[in-house]
Amino acid sequence: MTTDIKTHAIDISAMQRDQRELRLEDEEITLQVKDLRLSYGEKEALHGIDMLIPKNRVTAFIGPSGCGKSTLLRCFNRMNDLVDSCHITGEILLDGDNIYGRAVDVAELRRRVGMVFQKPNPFPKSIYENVAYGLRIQGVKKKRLIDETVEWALRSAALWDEVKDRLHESALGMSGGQQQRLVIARTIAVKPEVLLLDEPASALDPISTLKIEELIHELKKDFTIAIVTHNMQQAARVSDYTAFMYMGDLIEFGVTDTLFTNPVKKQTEDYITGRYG
Amino acid sequence: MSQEATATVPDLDFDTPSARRKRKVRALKDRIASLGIGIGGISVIIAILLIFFYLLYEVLPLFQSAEVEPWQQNGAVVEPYALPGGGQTLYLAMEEQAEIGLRLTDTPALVFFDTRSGDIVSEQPVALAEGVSIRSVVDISPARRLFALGLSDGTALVLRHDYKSSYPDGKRVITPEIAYPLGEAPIAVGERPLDLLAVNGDGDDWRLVGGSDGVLTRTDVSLTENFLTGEVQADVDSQLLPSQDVKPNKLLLMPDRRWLLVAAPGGKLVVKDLQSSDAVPQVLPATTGEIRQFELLLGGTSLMLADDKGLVSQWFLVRNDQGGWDMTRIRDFDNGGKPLSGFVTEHRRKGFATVDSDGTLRLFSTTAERNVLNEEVVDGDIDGIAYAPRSNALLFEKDGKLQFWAVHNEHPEISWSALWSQVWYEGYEEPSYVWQSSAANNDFEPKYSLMPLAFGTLKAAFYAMLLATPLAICGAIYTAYFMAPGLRRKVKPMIELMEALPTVILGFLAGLWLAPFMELNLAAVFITLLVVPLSVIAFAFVWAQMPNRIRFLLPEGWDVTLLVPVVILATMFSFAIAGPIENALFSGDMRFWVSQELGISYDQRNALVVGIAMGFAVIPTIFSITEDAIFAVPKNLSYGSLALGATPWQTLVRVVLPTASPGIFSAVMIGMGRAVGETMIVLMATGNTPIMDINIFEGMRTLAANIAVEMPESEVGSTHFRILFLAAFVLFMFTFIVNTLAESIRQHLRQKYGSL
Repeated sequence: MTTDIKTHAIDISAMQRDQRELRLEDEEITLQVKDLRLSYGEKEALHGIDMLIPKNRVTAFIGPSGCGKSTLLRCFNRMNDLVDSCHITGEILLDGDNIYGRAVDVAELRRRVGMVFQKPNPFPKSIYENVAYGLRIQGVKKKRLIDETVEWALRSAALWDEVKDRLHESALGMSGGQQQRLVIARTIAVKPEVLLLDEPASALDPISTLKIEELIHELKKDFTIAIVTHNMQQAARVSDYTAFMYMGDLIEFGVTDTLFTNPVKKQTEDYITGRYG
Repeated sequence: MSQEATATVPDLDFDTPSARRKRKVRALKDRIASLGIGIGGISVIIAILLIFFYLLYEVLPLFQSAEVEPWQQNGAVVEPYALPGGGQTLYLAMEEQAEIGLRLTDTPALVFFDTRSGDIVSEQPVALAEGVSIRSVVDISPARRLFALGLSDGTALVLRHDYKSSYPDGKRVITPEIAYPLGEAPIAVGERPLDLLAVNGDGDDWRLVGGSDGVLTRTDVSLTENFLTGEVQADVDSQLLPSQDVKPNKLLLMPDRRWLLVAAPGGKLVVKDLQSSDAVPQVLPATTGEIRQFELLLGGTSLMLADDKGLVSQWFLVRNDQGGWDMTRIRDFDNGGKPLSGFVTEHRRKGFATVDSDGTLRLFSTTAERNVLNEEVVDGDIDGIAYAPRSNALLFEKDGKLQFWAVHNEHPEISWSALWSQVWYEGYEEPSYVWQSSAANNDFEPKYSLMPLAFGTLKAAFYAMLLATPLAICGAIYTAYFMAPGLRRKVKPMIELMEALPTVILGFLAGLWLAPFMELNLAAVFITLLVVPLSVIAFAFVWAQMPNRIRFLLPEGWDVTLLVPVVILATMFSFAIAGPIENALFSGDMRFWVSQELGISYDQRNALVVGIAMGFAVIPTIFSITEDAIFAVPKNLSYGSLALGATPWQTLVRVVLPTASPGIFSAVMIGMGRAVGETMIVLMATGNTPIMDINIFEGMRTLAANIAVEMPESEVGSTHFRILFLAAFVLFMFTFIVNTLAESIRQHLRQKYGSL
C-alpha cells in the first residue's frame, strides 16, 4: 500500500475550490424534484421533497441513518420500483420530463441515470467484460468501439494504469477500492447524464476513499453527480451543494460551504456540529 | 441512564471453582461433539468404500484366469496310473461327480474305473457277433453320455453310460450301467463296414449315416412302444445317399438330423442338406491344411474344427437373404500354430479344451472368445482326453497311463468383448448386443452383453431429463427471480414435497394407469404436449398487452396463478379436439397409425411413459437445487445490472444465470444421477425389454431394474449372479463418476465466483 500512497498522493488542497461564486439561481438544472412522497406500505418515508440538482455539480445528501437520503437517491433512477409495496406520488423531472410518466422506458432511464452502490458489486466476469457490459446490453457490437469505450471509461475512473495488463482477468481478484472504481467505470461507460453514488466509499479504506473522492472531483466535468454520504467531511470535501435531510424531510439545501459554515436551520447546525446522529 | 450505570457494578467472578468446572465440562462436550461428528463422517466414507470393495470382491472372479492342478485326494496328489482294463483306448468319459471313468477298450470291453486310483469298479464285454469288429467310435453327445460304435458288418450300436446313486449306510455309492437307447441289437446301416458314422436323435427318432470309401447310407430309426406289452419296436428305413465327389474323412449329424457335415481331404468342409435329395452340397474351404478335429459344441448348433496347425474355428448355420442357410465361419481360436493332440468340448458350457503337440493345455470359451488357460500339463502328445460333466476335471491318456487333473474354471463366459462388444451368437444373423441370461433349455448360449442395459439406462434417463430439465429449471428461474415472495414460500415446499412421494407409487401409476391411458389417448397426449406450452405463451403475451388497470389487479409476481386455469382449460381443449384430429389425420387411431403407417412398433410401456413418470420424480431434485442457486445470487449483482440500464430479462440471462450456473449444473447432474439409479419406476413402467432402440414408443431395461428383476432368480456364486454385481458396479461407478465430476466442476466454478 505504501507505493499506492506515493504514486497517488492526493492533493486535498486542490479540492478546496472556491465555492463562493456558486449560486443555485445561475445553475442549469438537471433534475427537479416536485412534492415527492414515498411510502413503504402504510409508512411514509419521504414527506414531500422539493429540490433541484444542478448540472455538472456534485450534490451531497447528508443526514442521520434512516432519514431517507438513500431512498430519495434511488427515486432518481426508479430503483425503488424493485421494492415491494413501494408507492410514490409527485414528480421528478429529468431535463424537463417526468421520469414517473406513463411512457417512460425504465431501462433507458437507468442508463441515463447511473448508480453506484455502497458495496462494490462487480459482475463475476473479466474487468473488460464488466465495463463492456453496459454497452453490450445496449446492443453495441463493434469491437473497436467497445475497446475504445472501455479504455476511456477505465481512464476516466483512474483505473486504466492499474489494470491495463490484466483486462481479461476476473474482476473479483481486485481490491475493494479498485472494484468500486471499476463499478464507476462500468457506470460511466454507457454515458449517463447523472451519476448517483450511494455511500460509495463507506466500505473502503481511507486511501481508497480519497481516490474515489478525487475521482468524483474529476467526473463532475462530464456528469451531474448526486452522492449520499454520512461522512460530513467527505460531503464538505467533494460537493458543491449539500442537502440535509432529517426524518424524511429536506431540512436545508444550499451551497456546501454556506451550509456547513452558516446553516440557516438549527437542526442542520446540531447535526453538523455532532449533537445527534 | 448514565448516572445509574455507575452506581453499582454487578459482582461477577469468573474464577470460582464452579465456573472452572463448568468450563471443563464445556470443553469436554466440545471434544465429544467433534469426535462424534468426525466418527460419523469417517463411517460414511468407510461404508461407501465397503460397498465398493464388496462389489469388486463379487465381480473380480469373473475376470480371473482358470487354474489346473493334478487332482488331490485326501491331501495327496493323484499319480498317473496304468490304464484300467489294459488294451487300447477307443473312448474315454466320466460321470457327473468325476469319480468314475469309462473306458472302451479294443478288446472290446467297457471298463468303469475309479478316476482317482484306477481301480476297476465294473467291467463288461461288448457283445459282438462272431468276426465283427469295431471300425469307428462316435461321441454323439457328451452331455447326454451317448456314443455309438460303427461295426465291420455295416451295423451300428448306440450306447449310453448311466449312473445310479444310492446311499446304503449313509454313504454314496455310484453304480454304473450301460443302456441301449436303440435296443441291444445293432442297427443295420448299409452293406459296407462303418468306417465312418454319424448319429443323432432323441426320444424315438434317430438317424444314422455311415459307410466307407465314399459310399454312405442313411438310416432312419423310429421307435414305437407297444403300450400293451411295453415292447419297443424299431422301424428302420435305409437309403443309399448319392455318391460323394469327395471321399469323407469325418462325419457329423446335427441334432435336427437335417444337416450332414463332412470333413473332406484338402481342408474342405461339405454341408449336405438331407431333407431335399437334389440340394447341392455346400463345399467350403475350411483350412489350407487338413481337418484334424471335427466336433459339435454343446447344443449341436456350432461346429468346431481344427486344422493341422491347431487353428480351431467355430462355424454355424446362418440364414441368408434367400431364406436358405449358409454354414458360416464365426471365429477362430489360435493354439500357437501347433497341431492338436487332444480336443474335447465342455458338457454344460460353450467351451472346449485343447492339448497341442507340446502338451500345452488350453481352455477356451467360444462366446467370450476368451482363452482362460495356457499351461503345459504333459510332455508331448497325449493319446486321449475326457472332460468331466461339471468341467471340474480332465482325464488325459499319455504313454499308457491316465492322469487325472482338477480344473478350476468358474466363469469363462465373461470377457470385455462379451460384455461391451457385438457378439455373434449362435443362430443370429449377425453380431449383435443381446442380454438374455436364461432360457428354457439347458444347452443355450447365455448372452451377457451389458450394452442393451446401459443403453436402456441412458435412454430412460435421457427421456426423463428431456421432460424434467426444462420444466424444473424454468420453474426454478421463475420461482426464484420473478415470483412474489409470499407465493414462493408456498410453492417451493410444495414441489419439494413431491420428492417425498415413494417412487413405487409413481411407477405403479405409470405402469397401470398412465401407460394404458396413453395408449388409448395417444393423440390427445401429444396434442396436450403441444397445446399447453403454446397456450401458456399465448396467455402471457395477451396478459402483457392488457391495460395496466387490469394487470395491476394482481400484485406483481402472483400472475403465475392465472396459468392454473389456463393449463387446465388447454388440457381439456386438447382432449376435446383430439378425436376429430385423430379422425382427420390418423384415420381414427393414432396408435394404430404409428405402428401401421410409420412402421414404428409401439409398446404400451414405453420410453414416453417412463420419461413422464421419471421426469416427475426428477423435477423436485433439479428444481430445488436450481432454485436455491438462483436465489443465492446476491441481490446487489442484479441491482448493479439493472442500474446500468439492463432489463430484468437481460439481467437474468447475462448476470444471474451465469452466476448461478455452478448450482444449476450440479442440479442437472444430481438429477441425472437420480434418473440413472432410479429403479422402481423403470421396473414397473418400462416393460423390461432389453432392446437397443432409441424409438420413444419402445420399452427398455435399465441396469437397476435388471438387477431387481434377476437377482432373486440367480444362483449365488454363478456367472449370472456375478454379472448382476458387475451391473451394480457399473451403475455405482457411473453415478460416482458423474457426481464426482459434477462436484469438481462445481468447486471450480465456485472458486471462480468465490468472493461474491
